[in-house]
Order: sequence, then C-alpha cells, then structure tokens
Amino acid sequence: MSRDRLRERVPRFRGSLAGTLLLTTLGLLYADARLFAAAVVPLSYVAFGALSSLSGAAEPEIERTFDAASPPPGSEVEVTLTVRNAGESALTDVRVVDGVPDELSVVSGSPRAALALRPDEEATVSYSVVAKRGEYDFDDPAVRVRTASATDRATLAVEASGETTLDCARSVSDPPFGEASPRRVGTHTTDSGGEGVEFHSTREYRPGDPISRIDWRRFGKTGDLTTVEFREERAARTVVVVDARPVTRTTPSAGYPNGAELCAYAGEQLYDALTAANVATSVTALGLGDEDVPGGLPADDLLWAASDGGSSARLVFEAIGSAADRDSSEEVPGDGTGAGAKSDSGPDAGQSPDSASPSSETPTEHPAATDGGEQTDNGTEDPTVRALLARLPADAQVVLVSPVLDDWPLSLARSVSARGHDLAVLSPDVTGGASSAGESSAGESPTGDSSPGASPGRAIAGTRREIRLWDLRTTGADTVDWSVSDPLGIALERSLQTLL
Amino acid sequence: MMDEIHDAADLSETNWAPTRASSALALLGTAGGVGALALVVGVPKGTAVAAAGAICLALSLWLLTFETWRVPATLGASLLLVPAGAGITAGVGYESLVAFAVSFPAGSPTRVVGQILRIAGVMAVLWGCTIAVFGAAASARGVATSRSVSKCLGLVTRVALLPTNFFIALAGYGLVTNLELGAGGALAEFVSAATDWLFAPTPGEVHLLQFGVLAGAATYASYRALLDLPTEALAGEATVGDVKVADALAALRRSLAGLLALAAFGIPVAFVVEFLLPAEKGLALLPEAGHDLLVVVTSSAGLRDLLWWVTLVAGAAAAVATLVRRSSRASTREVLVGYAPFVAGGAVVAGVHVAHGPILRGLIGFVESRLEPPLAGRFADLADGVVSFYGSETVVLGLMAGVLTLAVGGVFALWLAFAAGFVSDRVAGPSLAGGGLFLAAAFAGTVDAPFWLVLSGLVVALMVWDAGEFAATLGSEVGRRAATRRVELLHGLGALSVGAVGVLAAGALSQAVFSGGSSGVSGGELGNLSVALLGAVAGVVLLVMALR
Repeated sequence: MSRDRLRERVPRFRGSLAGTLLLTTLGLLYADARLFAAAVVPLSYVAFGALSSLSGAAEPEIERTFDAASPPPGSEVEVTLTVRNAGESALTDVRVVDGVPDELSVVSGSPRAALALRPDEEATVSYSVVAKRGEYDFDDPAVRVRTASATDRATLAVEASGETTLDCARSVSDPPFGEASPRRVGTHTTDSGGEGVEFHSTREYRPGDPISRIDWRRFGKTGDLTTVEFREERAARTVVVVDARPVTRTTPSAGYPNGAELCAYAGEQLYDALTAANVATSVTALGLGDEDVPGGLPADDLLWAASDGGSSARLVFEAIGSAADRDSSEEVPGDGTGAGAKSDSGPDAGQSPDSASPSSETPTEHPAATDGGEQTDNGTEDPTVRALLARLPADAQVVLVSPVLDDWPLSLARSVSARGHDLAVLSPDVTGGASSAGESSAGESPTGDSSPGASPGRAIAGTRREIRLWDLRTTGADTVDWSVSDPLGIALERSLQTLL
Repeated sequence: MMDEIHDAADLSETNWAPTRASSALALLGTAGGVGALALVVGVPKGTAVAAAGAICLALSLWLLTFETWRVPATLGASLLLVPAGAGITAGVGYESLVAFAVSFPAGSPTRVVGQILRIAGVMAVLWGCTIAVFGAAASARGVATSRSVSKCLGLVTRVALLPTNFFIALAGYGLVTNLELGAGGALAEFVSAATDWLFAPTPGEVHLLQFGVLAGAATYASYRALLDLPTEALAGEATVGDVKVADALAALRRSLAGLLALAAFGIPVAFVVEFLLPAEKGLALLPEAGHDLLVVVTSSAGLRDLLWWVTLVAGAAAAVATLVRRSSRASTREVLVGYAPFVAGGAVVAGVHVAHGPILRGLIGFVESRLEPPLAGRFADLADGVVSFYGSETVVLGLMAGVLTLAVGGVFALWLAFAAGFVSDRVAGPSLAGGGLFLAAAFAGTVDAPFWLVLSGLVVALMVWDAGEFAATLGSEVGRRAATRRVELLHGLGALSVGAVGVLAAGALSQAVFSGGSSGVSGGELGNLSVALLGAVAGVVLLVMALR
C-alpha cells in the first residue's frame, strides 16, 4: 500500500484484559481452578487482537464509471465503483467512501460500502447522483482496511481509475462571426418586397434589376419596363430570453437543479440548435446581479448577446449559471431517502415551489386580475419589460425560457404581442407537475418518496403554472412544457418547429 | 479521519446509527445469555422484573433525548423512573429475600460464610443481567450518553425530592405525635416562648435586641423587595411635584442599605448590651429622656406588629418578584420542563395517598408468603408495629422514597461510570451489555453453574461487546444505508471462532488440572504445577504482546 497511508493499531480488547484479571481474581478468591481456567477465554481475544496484522494486505484497486456521459441537469446518474482485491491475502473488512463533490446530492444507494474481498475478487458499489449544470470532479475514494479483529487498520486514499469528472454542460459555441450575414434567407415571410415566391407588387424598372423579374408581358403590351416584386422570405431575428429571476430559483426537491439552472440549460441548448439552423439568435437574461457578470451589468440591466457582436452568448449563460447558484448555498441537501418529505418540513422548504410561488403571487396579482385593456400599459410600466422591449429589434421573435412560477411572463407576453412580435415560451417544469408527476417521476425514483409532486403545496403550484401556461396560449404565444424527467430534445424539437 | 467525511448529501441521523446485523447479533446474544444464566442460577423471576425496570430506565433516557415534545417527554421520563426504580429494587429485593429464605437459618455456623458468598454470587449474577439488559436496551437507539445520564441524574433527584420530603414530614409528625416523650409539647413551648420574646415585650423595659432583630428583618425584606420589583421600569419618567419618582426610589434604596448596615452593626451591640453588660453599666448610663424614649420605642407592641407585617409583605413581594423574573427569563417550555419532574414527584405522592392501603396489604402479604413460618411471624409482627405507629401512607411513601433514592444511587453509579471513563458515549450500550453479561457469567461460575455455561456466557458477553462496538464503528464510518451485512457476518464468525478456540483451550486446561489432581498425589501436584507454570508463562507472553 502506498501513498497517504495511515496505519494504526486500535486497542480494542482492553475490556477482555480486564475480564481476564476479574476471572483470575475470582478464581483466587473462591479457590476455584475452573474460574482460573475460564480466564483463557477473554485472553484468547486479547491474543487474537494482538496477533492479527495487515502486513500481507495489498491496496485494493478501484474503478469508477458513470452510466451517462453528459447527462442533462436534473437527471439521475448512476455511479459505479468496482473494488478489486489485487493482493494475495483476503481483505475481510474494506470500507470505501467515494469522494462525491459537495454540490451533487446522492438520491439512491450510498457512496459508502463495507466489503469483504478474497484475493482477486471484485465487488461493485452503485449509487445515483442528481446531475447539475457544470463540471464536477470526484475526489479519490477514501479506503480503510481492517483485520478481522479490527485491531489493525490502514486508512488511505486510493486513486480511482476510470471517470473522475461528471460533465453536465455543453458549452455554447462562439457565435459564427465569419459566416454571419446581415440578412439570411429563411421561411419567415416579411412585408418587404424582394426575391421570393409570393407576388408582392410591381414597380418601375430601375437599372440593375434582374432581367428575370421584368414583366415582359406588360412590356409587350405597353412598352414600359416594369419589375415584379415578390414577398421577401428570410429568417427573422430570434431573441432567447432566459428567466433567472429569484422567483425561478426554486427546486422540486432538495438536491435537484433549480428553475433558473434548468432555464439556463434549456436556453443554451436552444441557442445551439438555432445557431446551427442558421437563425440569427440573440440571448439575454433576466434577474442577473452585478456580481454575476465580470465588469457588472450594462445600464439597462440586460446582458445582451446579439447575433452580430456584443458580448458572447457564453458570457450570458455563465452569468445565468452564477445567478442560479447564488441562492443554492441556503439549500439544505436532502439525504436521498426522504428528499420529498424533507423539503416539506425541513428548513429548505423556503426554496421549494410550495412556498416560493405564493409569495411571488402577491406583487403580480393585479395584472392577472384586472381587465385585459390595461394589460399592456401595466406591463410596460415594469422596468424590466420596458428595457427588454427597447432592445428588441423590430422584426424579432421572442423565445422566453421560464419556469412560469409567477405572472410576470404573462405581462411580458401581452406587451410583446401588442408590439407585434411572435412569442414562444419554453417552460421547464420545476413544480413536479400537477398532472405529469405521477407517471414520469414515480417510476424512476428507487425510493418512491423522492418523486416530486408528492406534497399538496407542490400540486397547487403545478396547477397554477398550468393555468398560467393556458393564459399564455390565449395571448397568442406558443408554449412548450418541458417535464424535466423527459429528454430535453423532444421539447426542443417542438419549440423549434414553432420557430423555424 | 473517515468518520469526518460524511458527505453533505447524507445528513439523516438514522443512517449513522450502529449497523443492523451486528446490533441484532448483540441484542440476541444479550437476551440469550441473560435468559440462560438467570435460569441456571435460579433467578428467572427477579431477573425478569429487574430487566423490565432496566428497560424502563432505558426508555426514560430515550425520552430525555427528545428535541421536540420536550415537556411531555420529560414528564414521561420522570414518571418512568418510578417503575424503573421499583422494578430493579423489587427484582433484586425479591431474589435476595428468596436466597435468604433458602440459606437461613443455616445448619451450622461454618456454613454461614459459604451461604453469604453464595448469596453474593447470586446477587452479582442478577445485577450483571440487569446491567446487560439495560445496556442492550440503551444500545438500540444509542441513548446512554454521558449527557443523557447526567440529565437523568438531575431528573431522578428532582423526582425523589417531593416524596422524600413528604415522607420525612409525615414520619416526623408520626414521631412527634406518637412518642410519649412530650416532644410535641416541648416544641410548642419553644415556639410560644420565642413568639412571646419577639412580640410581647414586658412594658417599661428596654428590649434592644428583639427590636433590633425585627427592625433588621423588616429593613432587609424591604430592601430586597425594592431591588427585585421592577420599580424603575414602572416609575419611568413620572414625577411627583419636582421630584422624579425614580430618583426618590433610588434614594430610598440607598437609605435602606444604610439602615441595613446599621442593623448589621447594631444587633451584635444590642446582644452585648442585653446579655453581657451589667444593667448599671449599660443603658443606665443614658440620660433619663433618652432612656424613656428607648423604653417607649422598643417595648411598643404596635410598632413591632408593624415591623413584622412589613417583613412579611415585603418578603413575599420580593419572593414573587424573583420567581416571576426567573420564569420570564426562561421560555415557557423551559419552565415546564424544569417543573415536570416535580409534577411527577407530586403524582407519586398523590398516588400513594389514594392507594396506600391496598399496596401495603399486598406487599406485606407477598413477603409473608415467601418466608418460612418463624420468620414470617416475626415479619408480620414487625410490620404491624411499624404500620400502626406511622400509618400505612407514611410507610408506603417511605418505600417509594426509598425506591427513588435507590434509583438516584443507581443513576449516580452509572454517571460515575461515564465520568470515570469506564464507558464511552460511542459504545456505551454494548459496553454495559457485554460488561454486565461477563460479570454475570463470571459469578455464575461461583454458584455452581455448569462449566460449559460459564464459558459460553463469557464468549457471548465478549461477542456482544465486540459486535456492538463493530456496529457502532461501521455505522459511523459507512452508515446503515450501505451494504455491510457480509462484513458484519464475517466479523461475527471470526469472533465466534476465536471464542470457540478459547472455550476449547479453557476446557482442556481445566480437564488437565482436574485429571492431574485425580491421578495421584505427587503426580497431581506435579501436573498442576506444570499446568500453572505453562499458563503463567503463556499469560505473561500474551500480556506483553497486548501491551506492546
């Protein structure tokens, strides 16, 4: 056994030594040879403890594997440690503790185990952690080996072969400056005339117009050169708005990523997909603080990554990640078995949607309650909405990525539709889902009770969210409800269909 | 080192409790060992009752570890201490009664020592079994810690306080009223003489000392009342005329303090003047007018009554203010938790008051039925005499107070074991279980239990301790949720095989000694000597190895 090894003897059998003395004394007092002979029994334990030693034992070999290479946040990743006794002698008591990063919470199984291994025998230890956005390095497992008498023990850190980093973030590629063209052809019809398929108008010929667009029939009749204009089709600009306001930083269960984190992840994937489809995409985020952005926020508090320059999308997503983590320090990680139950009664209840949504209700009740006519005005009064509208290009369509835990998205939707922009809402479900929780989560959770949606408060939050999504649809927005336990790809496909 | 690497994801308390398989092994071993030893030594009933008491004690300790529901938990723990003490006392008392009844009267004086040793052995087995059951019960939840035991000590002391005081008062009353020594009359005479001396002065004389004592008491009580009552807060900024009330009160307090100092100095002087100085050298030297004034002031019955009432009222006000102040500083829950054991003590007193008749009759009948005729008759006479002298309530209350005092002693012994470091918090339960069982098995050897049972008892005791300690360490390092069963079973098997080897060696050794003894005088001596020498050498070698 090699590095970081701490070997010590544990004086376990002092009690047996005292017992030996007691029996010897009793044997002498009562003049009873049998009691004297009985002292051999505790003495044999003393001898056992004194004689057993770890001298011939070898360091076990450990290999770590993850069942998913780059999992989405919120999904459970099974970690498997394979411990092998590479030595010649049996190890009767090997205790292994895997170095799980503090940020990841274990939801099933235990990263600890006590194993007994014959020479060349191997055993596996499996447990599951909840993936979070980011890269997490696992420490070397701590190993403690004891003799059968437990009087000789060695503690060591064994370097695990195999995987050591759980990577759950696909970094956003830098915007393709080289290929960027100010006007891209696409399927989105615009009101300006130009090249296309659908007839738009005719105008007088100007030198330089393509010959193919001259109306020859008219030239034949009248002798005037006229140019035909078609309705121009091109991709509009798309603005991805990621909602990371404090109200979104709630989790369905302790240890799971919060709404802002999920929004960041979904927004990132969406940005990648749109950029890959050659759509001019800008990204902005709500709810960032000065401390999230190196150098601070711009004057209108909107960090904006435009498709044609400005700050890079990577910076925006990093800032969102930092904002999402800001409240995480207050979370009390659950213990896996009782995650659902704990968040109902434990100190982290404040982080769960049960309590977060009612508190967030109060300031925004009015727009939802009052009549539709004043909505736009009310919405525009919100400084964030105003700043956002000010930055929106005239032909932009907006994709809001938000868990929709309060009525703010609704007021944004009304303001945006009043300005004539298209709106799509991609909403990760952090309430556990009023309707979907039962079928999607219960089957996955090995303990059953950690399924989100177990508490009535969460069910109410889920129902309110569904009502808000319904309201959003009535304003003309397309909504895509992403249940976190489903792969994001399906939700993205659905949202991209509405965008492209 | 490893104990500290509890990952943040795993915070539940239950996970770090001792692992299940080894704990179950320790529990089963204790139950089996205690049952077998109690049956063979012939103390099954007493052991069962004492074990029930031990389990009540463990339950009481468990209730004391509650962080929520503390008031009912403390009350429950206090009430459980009564059956705990009663169970252990009854179990041990019953078996000692039986042992005495069997052994005495002894056939010959030479057998007395042997019988006493036998009774001591039986008692040790009984105590060992009780401790073992308590340890096993406490290890189930790890409730025996130095903290919980010291809390329990405070609790049992407070529970015992009321019954003991009531018993002393009732017994004292019984003594005073029944003894024909005129003690009651003497007491009454003393009281009336004291009140006369204090309150009914002879007119026309100077009574400096009595007056000084009363005035000093009144001053002290007023000072305390002024100090303890929230006078400053109540006065606030209020004024009477041009004087601020708070300032006036402060001035009053200062004057009272001055008066108090004067009284402290004056009372000894008055004592000297009253008792030690001859009359012509003391007050007679004063001028006539001064002397007359002193006579009027010190012998005025009205003034004395006034001082007495001031003392009473101010003293009561000060006491109430102090109590309220103390209670208001602590939260209601803390106050209730503090009073819960007294409530339990009060419940014991009330219970005895209601049911003392049937309890006492049952007890006396039971003891009589267990004793041989001459002893039973003597006991009945004695009991009748005591009951008719003190009354049955006093006797039952005395028994209760005795049980609770014994409980205080027992918990104190437990506390001492923790304080002296014989038992550590981490493995307290297994240590007590294994230690108790070992004691019982060792002493079972002194009361003619079969040798194989003694050896098995020793092995089981050591295995119980080993398994319990192993479970505690494994639980704290790896936790219950991890897969540990294989390692635990392997460890248990290892310990069992070592025990088996030990039993074989001990059996062979005793066989060698006994067969050596029977083969012939010289050969036997030689055989014994060689075995003893071999044993001594082996023992020394092992000792050196163990201490290495």
